Amino acid sequence: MRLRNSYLYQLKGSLKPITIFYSIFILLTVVSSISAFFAKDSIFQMSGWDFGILIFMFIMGCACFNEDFPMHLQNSVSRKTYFTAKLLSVFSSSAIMTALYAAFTLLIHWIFQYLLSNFTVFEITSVFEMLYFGGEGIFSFSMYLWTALLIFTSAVFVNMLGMFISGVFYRTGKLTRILLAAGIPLFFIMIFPMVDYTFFGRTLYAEVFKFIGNVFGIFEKTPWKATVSFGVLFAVSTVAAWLVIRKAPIKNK
Amino acid sequence: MNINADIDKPIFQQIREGIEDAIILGAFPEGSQIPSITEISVNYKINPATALKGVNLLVEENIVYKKRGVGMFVCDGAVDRLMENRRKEFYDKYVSSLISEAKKLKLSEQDIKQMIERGFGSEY
Amino acid sequence: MSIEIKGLTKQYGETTALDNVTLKFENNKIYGLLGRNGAGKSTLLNIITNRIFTTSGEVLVDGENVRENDRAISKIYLMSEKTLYPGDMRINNVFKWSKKFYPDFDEKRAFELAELFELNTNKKVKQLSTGFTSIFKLIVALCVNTPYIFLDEPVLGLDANNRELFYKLLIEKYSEEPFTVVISTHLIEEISTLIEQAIIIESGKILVNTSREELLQSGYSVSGKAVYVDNYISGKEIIGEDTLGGLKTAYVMGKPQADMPESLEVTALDLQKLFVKLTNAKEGK
Repeated sequence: MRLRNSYLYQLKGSLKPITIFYSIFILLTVVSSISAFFAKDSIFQMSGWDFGILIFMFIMGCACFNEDFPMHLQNSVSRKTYFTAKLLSVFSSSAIMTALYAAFTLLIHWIFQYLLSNFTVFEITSVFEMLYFGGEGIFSFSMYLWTALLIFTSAVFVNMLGMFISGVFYRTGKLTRILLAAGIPLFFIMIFPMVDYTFFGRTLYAEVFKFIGNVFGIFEKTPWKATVSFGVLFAVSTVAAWLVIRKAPIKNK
Repeated sequence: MNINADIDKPIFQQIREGIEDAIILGAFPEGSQIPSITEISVNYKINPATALKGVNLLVEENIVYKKRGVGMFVCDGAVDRLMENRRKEFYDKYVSSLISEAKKLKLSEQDIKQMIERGFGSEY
Repeated sequence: MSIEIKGLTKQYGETTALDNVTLKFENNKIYGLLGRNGAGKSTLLNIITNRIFTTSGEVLVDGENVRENDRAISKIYLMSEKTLYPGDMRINNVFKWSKKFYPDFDEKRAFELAELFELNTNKKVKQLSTGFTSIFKLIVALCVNTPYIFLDEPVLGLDANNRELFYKLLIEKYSEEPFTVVISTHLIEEISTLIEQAIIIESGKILVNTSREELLQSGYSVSGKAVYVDNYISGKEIIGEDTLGGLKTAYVMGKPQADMPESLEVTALDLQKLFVKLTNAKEGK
């Protein structure tokens, strides 16, 4: 079955990078916990790995298309099937990434909470935790589950976003690519602040910040809002990616 | 046997005549097996359908027969049949064109006869 | 059981790559798709295999439209000039995945052929020379066992020995169990004896679509002293001329007259000459 084989192909392609990612993660965790163990009476925190996962998933989304797409065309797979399989493999790899992160976090938490509690405190915390749960390292299952859900939904979103971006780059010419790659960062770094300062007296920036804060429930500390927003962003990215890919031709050069 | 894509004769004819020649010369004795279609096509780099066409002509004329699952063999009496056919065709094929070429070169009947005698003389 | 191409037109902005192409590829025949560089051969093959989309017209494989249709496209395998496999993939993995996507792929045979061609299957795609890149793709094509196989410039970069080997394997395979193969190339001499049907494409249009025999018999060449040749060819349809000093050769369509003047020599056309003259004639050279 073509769908199944396409799914397996894409999933297998992501397993190697995932393995490398988590090997590094485990290595760093082990090193950190060993030094935490010997430090005694200190509080060690390893944080930000959730954002690491997001960056990783985004890069994966960007990197896969260029090789996977021609491979599928060569093997007589339609774009429809390729895309469907891609979605399935994105869900799978995001789930795997989330599950592994959750498992390691839990493991470390139990080790230091129960086995080594007399020695020191070592926690793996995430940016999401800090945003929604105060980041004090106080463990609760609800926090734990919300974090996992947030990581999962944001991971599938950035992965499809990456695919959309690489699809756009695939289909555009060199000039457009340069304009996009330079133009978009320039817009945010230079043009937007300039427009804001000149016409809006710096209020636009605050408005945008407020909007994002509301939509992601940052002020009210409501992670469910963020989950929904990530879900919506995922849906939008997926549609956008499909629109770009459905008529993508093979490149002859 | 040489297959020439360039000359007038269709390839299947060349195949057919090539095998006929081999039979007349004794390279494929009566009752022996001739190369398969695959072998012929591979050897001369031709389309197997073309090779088959040539060989089928030989089957029709009882020069060669097919033994299912084994291959193709030269019929008994094939040599005689071929010789007879060739003799009938000899005038049209060789003599006519010889005469027209001779006329082109302004050779007389006498000149030709002398040449023929010379030709046969050099055989022995 | 055939591939039907109906009124296929492909436009790239102002350029027309294919112009109302209508063709049929029937079961179990060896086709030659002949055309000059840029005539539209690759475009046609890419559309047939769903790699690019047509501007208008359609391609039906056994009655089903090929567009985004897994079942239809899986009956076709295209070996193209451009290598679409990931550079980091090892050849044995290429075979493995080919088996997954094409259930009839003969993996065992693929490894046998790799040995015959002296191809190291442990190597990665990007590590192979031009010749070996063609070779591994050829091996896949020879083992994939789909009903329709398209080969776009199959012997690109192959040395003479490997070319011979490839043709030998192709003929053997076809002889044992016929399938439909379309060889698209500008190396006409190489495949002229192999093909049953010749399709000539020029500037996106189909010039010729007949059996090889018919095509070769559709014309002849006549040579002799220039003035005699000119006399003979007046009023006849010619597709080209060559002059060497006082000796002229003209390429005439149709059959030679019954009463050919003695001063002129008549010979048959070979496919390459015919092709060159036909495609030059089209451009008004």
